[in-house]
Amino acid sequence: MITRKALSRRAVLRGIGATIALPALDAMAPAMQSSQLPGGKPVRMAFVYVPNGIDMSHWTPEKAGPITSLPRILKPLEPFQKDISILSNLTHNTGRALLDGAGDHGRCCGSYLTGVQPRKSAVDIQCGVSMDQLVANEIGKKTRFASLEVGLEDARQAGDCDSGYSCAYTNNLAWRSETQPLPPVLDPRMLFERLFGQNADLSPEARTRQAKYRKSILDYVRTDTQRLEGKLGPTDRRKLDEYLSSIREIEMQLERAEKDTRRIDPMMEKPYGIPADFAEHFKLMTDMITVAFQADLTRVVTFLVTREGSSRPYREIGIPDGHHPLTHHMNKPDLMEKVTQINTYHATQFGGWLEKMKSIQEDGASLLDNSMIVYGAGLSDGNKHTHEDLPTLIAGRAGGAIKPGLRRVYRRETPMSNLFLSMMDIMGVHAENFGDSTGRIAGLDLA
Amino acid sequence: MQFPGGFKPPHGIVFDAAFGDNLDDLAALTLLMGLDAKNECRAISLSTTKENLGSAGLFEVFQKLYGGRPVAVGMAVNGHGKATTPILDAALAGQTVSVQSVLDTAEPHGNIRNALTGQPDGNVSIIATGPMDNLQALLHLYKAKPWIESKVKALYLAGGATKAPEGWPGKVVVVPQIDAELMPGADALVPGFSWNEKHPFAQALKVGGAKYSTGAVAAVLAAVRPNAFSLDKMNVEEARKVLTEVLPAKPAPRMRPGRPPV
Repeated sequence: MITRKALSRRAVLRGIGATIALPALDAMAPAMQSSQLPGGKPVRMAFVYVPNGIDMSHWTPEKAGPITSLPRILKPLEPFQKDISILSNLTHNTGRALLDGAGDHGRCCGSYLTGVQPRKSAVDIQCGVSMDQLVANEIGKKTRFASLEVGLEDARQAGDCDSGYSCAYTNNLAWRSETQPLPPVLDPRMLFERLFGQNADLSPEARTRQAKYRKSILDYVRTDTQRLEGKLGPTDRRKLDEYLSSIREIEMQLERAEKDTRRIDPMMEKPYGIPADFAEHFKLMTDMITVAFQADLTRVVTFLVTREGSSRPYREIGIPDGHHPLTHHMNKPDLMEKVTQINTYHATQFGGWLEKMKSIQEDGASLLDNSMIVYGAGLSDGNKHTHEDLPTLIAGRAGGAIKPGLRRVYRRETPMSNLFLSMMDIMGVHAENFGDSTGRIAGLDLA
Repeated sequence: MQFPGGFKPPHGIVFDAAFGDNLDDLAALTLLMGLDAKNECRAISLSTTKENLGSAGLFEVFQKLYGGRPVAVGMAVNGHGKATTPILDAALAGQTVSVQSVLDTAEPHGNIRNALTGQPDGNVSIIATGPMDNLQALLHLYKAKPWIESKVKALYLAGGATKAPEGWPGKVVVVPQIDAELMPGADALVPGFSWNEKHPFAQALKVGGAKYSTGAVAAVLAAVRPNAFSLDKMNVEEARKVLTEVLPAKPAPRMRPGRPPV
């Protein structure tokens, strides 16, 4: 509740049948909890995973050191050249066959954030606790949601998805325990309600009323909003306005998406609230992640763009072929070109998110500056199913812990788990080992 | 990770040496790669205890000569062995070396650990001829000890190495000094390298001297053909025959992997 003293960190806007969390406002100091780093803003961590490998010839910059130009796939990220770090030679040995035969897709996704080789089984699954969950277990109590898992592609959780490996491995990034994956939320409306609308407070009748009269959830907290605004300084009023505008924008996007969904051919399996357009779906989800970060609702996110091994076509960019079959191009130029186009399309959507993150200011730095977002894949060459020199990019400065703008090349076969150990350090979670780590990654913070 | 009933690959050899310091190591690696090309074994990890790019690069030269799936070369970063040697210089003369910086190499202990994870139980022999730095680091790597216990059949110590890292699990074999006459002379071997006159071993033979220790060579024979060669009672005549045949031989085109009878 709002008081005349420093605003409580846990203050919310309340109305009849609705509650909205607030972003971090200056008026909350000194009630604000201290974060991991000087400056007071917590570091946010996210993983954005794209499937089926990446065309490395168009991903890897020519030289190590300062990034002066970006290859084709990363060209959409040119405005953020100084905000990204490209890491080379990181490897997941646990994604390799290691005598288990076929199943690179199941292994590479199952091992990506866990650093262990998943058990080859369609029923008796066993993986490892993923790195994001190790962090969430430690710092998650400081936020409403310990972590968020989101995705864009509907995928089953049971069955054999890759040569004897369960769909649980290909269709999840985060693992709470060795046997418990955390399925991603795919429906933007579901994510929205989870983040901003407490279901228990919003009765079915209230929902119906809302839908019927197209009332924004913000209308329910109007009185409280006006009362709060009167007590805020100009900077906080601006922040609050930006924040509430973001919520309203998302609501409007959802309404548009619902209309689009209704016009979609009934052949579509799940026409509920999920936009038909990939880019729109991507933007919706990342917009909500942004607001969740902004409001400190969570500091840990995993985003499985599409499931590993996805055969989704990309008709929106003129590619009717399935993604996965294309990546087994056998070096045919026309097929390789299509793969590159898909990779670039993914990167373009990611660039849109970075733009949003960069536009939000927190105490003289941007939300992107206070984040570290890993964008990458569990395979490098999708044709050969290679697990070394994985395409890995980190966006953001992690509150100053990372010096971006560089391509960093590590020794061959450097475990990806070494990077994750270092990232855990940045999040304030210390572990001696993780997965198949041999130590911490060197040089991330060369300043 | 075992896949019961699956095909068992050739015996894996982890080769760790102060590579380039002596002819024995070069001879051993030449023999190893020759037997690998015949699918009698598989060089699954190659590492040098010398912080020397030429030493690491020479491993790569051998891999290119003999084909097969190349492995990342491990190189210690410990300040030791930075200086080159006449043998190393001779071996590298005229070669195209792609190892240009430490980034072109791998951490030896992690590399060896990874190689072990891809092997069936008891299917690996480690041949170590130099300082124990890399194996020491391996032993202390998190969760590496269980891999060593299950995968390694024996650790062969040859050349300058006589003592395994403390706490090393499993069988350790200290290779006795074998009579130098085990090796055929340079006159017998060099002509056989006519398929590649710049072969590193052939070039090193010309400067290495007529006699040299052969512990590493004996270790390779014992590890790969245990039924034919025993370190306790080495059949010198048979060994010379094999070495004369295999060392200078041009590698045959790679066949599908199989384990021929020994």
